[in-house]
Amino acid sequence: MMKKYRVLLLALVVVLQTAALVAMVAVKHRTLLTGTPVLLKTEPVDPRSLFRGDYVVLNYAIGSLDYGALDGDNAFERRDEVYVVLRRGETYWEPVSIHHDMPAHEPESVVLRGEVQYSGVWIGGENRDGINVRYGIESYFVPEGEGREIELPRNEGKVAILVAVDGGGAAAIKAVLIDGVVRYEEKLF
Amino acid sequence: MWDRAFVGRLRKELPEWVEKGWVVPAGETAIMAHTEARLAQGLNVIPMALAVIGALTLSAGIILFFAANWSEMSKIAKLAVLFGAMWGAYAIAGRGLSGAAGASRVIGHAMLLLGVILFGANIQLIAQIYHIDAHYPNGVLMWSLGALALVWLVPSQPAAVAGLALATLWSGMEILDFGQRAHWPFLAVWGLLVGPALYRSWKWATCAALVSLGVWCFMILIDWPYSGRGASLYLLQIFTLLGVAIHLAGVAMQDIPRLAALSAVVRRTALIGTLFAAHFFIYVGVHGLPWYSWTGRNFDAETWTRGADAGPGMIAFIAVFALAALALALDRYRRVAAARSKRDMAGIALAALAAAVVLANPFMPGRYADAVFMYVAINATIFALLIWMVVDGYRSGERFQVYIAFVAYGAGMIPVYFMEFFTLMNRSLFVMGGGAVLIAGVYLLEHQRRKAAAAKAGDAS
Repeated sequence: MMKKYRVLLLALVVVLQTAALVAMVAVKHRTLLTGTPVLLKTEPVDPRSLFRGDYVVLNYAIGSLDYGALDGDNAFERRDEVYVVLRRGETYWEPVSIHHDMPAHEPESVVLRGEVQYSGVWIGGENRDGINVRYGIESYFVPEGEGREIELPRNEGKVAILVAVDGGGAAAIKAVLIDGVVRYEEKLF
Repeated sequence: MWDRAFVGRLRKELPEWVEKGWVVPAGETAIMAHTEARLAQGLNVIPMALAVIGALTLSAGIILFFAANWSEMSKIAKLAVLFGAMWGAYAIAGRGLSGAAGASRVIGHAMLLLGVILFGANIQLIAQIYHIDAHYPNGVLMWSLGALALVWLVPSQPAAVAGLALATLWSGMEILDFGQRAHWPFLAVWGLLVGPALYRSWKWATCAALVSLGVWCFMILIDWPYSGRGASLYLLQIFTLLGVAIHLAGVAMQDIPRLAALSAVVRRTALIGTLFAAHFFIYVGVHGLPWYSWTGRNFDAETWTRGADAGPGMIAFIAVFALAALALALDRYRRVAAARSKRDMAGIALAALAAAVVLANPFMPGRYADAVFMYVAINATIFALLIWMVVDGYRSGERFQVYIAFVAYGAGMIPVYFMEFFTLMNRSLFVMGGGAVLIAGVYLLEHQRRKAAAAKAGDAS
């Protein structure tokens, strides 16, 4: 009886762990399905993770935000949550304003939620008063050996990332574009 | 206790005891039958260790397989393999744990550990497949909570050890990578893992819990700002007192039937941590040896200062831990007062003196040259405690205490050699004096031991 009870408890643990893993996939996929597609300019670099193999670190243009060039709030500390309003530019989406809380915004713009990494940014060869922000879309995992291929066009600036941004400001990578052509596209299965 | 070496020694010794009439022949047979039966029941360390190593190796292979991010495999196939591997490990664990044989239980626990590792690998690999790039310590927290669920519901000692290692890793990332100076949430997860370890008398998990607490303290220390309020000197005092309090709690556990089996592991592990913290407290915090210190400052007795006042928060912490250590020392005094053992009384007095010295230290002048008497008092108290540890360990048969006291003494000699405020001649005289005192102490101890042994032998005959 005792042993049967123990096995049932083990089964409960397995269900809990499985549910946690499924939730990871579900939350990400919900953003992909419901989010507004936004094209972002990026400069990828190619590191390797011990657990996860080759991946590309995506260094977005919207990662460095200059207080002087943007509306909204301008007093952020490390690890603060930040909401960035983006509007469609000529090719890429560009930041318009930054806020401590989710702002009201026009229907043609989106709000991306991030976390402040540090203050002070280097933009156009100058040290500016601003913040460096992470949005949770900075890594893209690729098959072994393909990281360099994505990194190589960096100097010509031909890599772009299509992300989906949902109503809460969460983002998920939808596709990687090289020279305007979709190279990798995300699907549920 | 019920290991092969013990049973082997009993098998050798018993015939002589029967011959001397201490044990009746029927008793010899009964003792051997009893010990061998207990040996067969218990989990042997070697098969368990090999099974755990096997589980770790297998999981490393699986993680590397997926790290290759094999493009020929579809997402659905990858997920099927990831979930299948984890469910398979748990299924074998369930079968093993429900079996009656000891070997089956060993495999069961090893498979539980494999299940925990695969759960963590799945977190990492699902993040890889779906490009999830969140605040990465949260992934490790999620992993340790998976182990925590196993510890509470199944329960499993290897899972508890894994959970403690993961909780420490999580907290380490928050402290060192994300600047969370004292990451208190660690203590909540730690406490939830320690509870079952104490309740079920898990020695390995208890040891791992104390080691993880020590590593957590060390990570706080290395990320603590040297200057400003709350300098690392005072933090080291707190950690030393925390170690003393845990050691004394381990001593008190001897008298609590439910916890008595864990007393030795708590006392010993806490002793290592205490001496480690005390060593850094004296040679980095107090004497500020530049080659030991992360400050890079050169020592000069005239100009060297503590860098900061303690501040009310740090003094409150020091007072709380010092009072906890004193309360536990008084509890020990109450228990041993009737026996009037001079050795116990001396130990309690020295512990109380150490707590008092440490409590007074934050109120001393900041300049080294103005507080030399306090630094002499700290060194003298620690030296007296080391001597007491050797005597007490020798008399009580606690060899570990003797060895660790000698190691601490030797570790203390190394920085003394490099101290710049001693001339070479003074250092030579200091070290020779210390050696002579030790040799004289050993002679006196051995003399007393032989006298006591002769008196006991006389009483027995």
